[in-house]
Amino acid sequence: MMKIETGHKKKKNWAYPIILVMFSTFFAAFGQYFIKKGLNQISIFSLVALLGNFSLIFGFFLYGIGAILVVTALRKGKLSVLYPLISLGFIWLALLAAFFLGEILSLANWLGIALIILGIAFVGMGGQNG
Amino acid sequence: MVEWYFVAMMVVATWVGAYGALYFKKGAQELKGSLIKKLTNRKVWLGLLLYGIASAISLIPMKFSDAHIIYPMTSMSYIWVAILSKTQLKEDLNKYKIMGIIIIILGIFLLAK
Repeated sequence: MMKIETGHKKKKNWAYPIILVMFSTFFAAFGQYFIKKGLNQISIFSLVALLGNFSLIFGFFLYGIGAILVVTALRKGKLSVLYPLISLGFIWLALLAAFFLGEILSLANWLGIALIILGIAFVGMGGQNG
Repeated sequence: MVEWYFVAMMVVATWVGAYGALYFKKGAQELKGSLIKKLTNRKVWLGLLLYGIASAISLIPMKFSDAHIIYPMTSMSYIWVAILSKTQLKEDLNKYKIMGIIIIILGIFLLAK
């Protein structure tokens, strides 16, 4: 990731919310994985099944941890910088699907991962310049 | 192909979700004092509620339409959040951020292929 070393004391404060959001996307991706798993097991129109499904509840729990991390990060960081970082979650999800569900990532998929990282670097640069 | 009303639902869902992010931010900014005070911040809960509504709306197209096309549409929210950051929070929107968002959205569509 691109980081411009300024030697300034502000740098540490600048990176802290970004790191928090990166961690949150990891939790959110696992959360989404379990929510999806839960939804595949049941019909979304059955409330009883919704409330009693372990995968679904665990998924929302992980999502909740992610949300707490995001709110903590947002106390100081800028929304226009932090929100696009959530796209990292798409990368985790793709890697999760590849490792656990045996889905094969195509060349286009890998290019997509590279573009997301590049885009995040751009947004981060925009945050430093603005 | 994906039906227009499923796409429309995703537009609505991502807008609602973007407002969720906005209220997360507004609430997070004013968090101080005791843990109870932090946990009962109305704006954060409103943000969460909006996020929940957005997720509920988007579940329907994802379940009943082509998820490979619907899923990356959630990235529309990056555009809405950028607009709301500028208009509501007075954050600056420079060319790096705009370029970054466009590249990220392209990446998400490639990743979902």
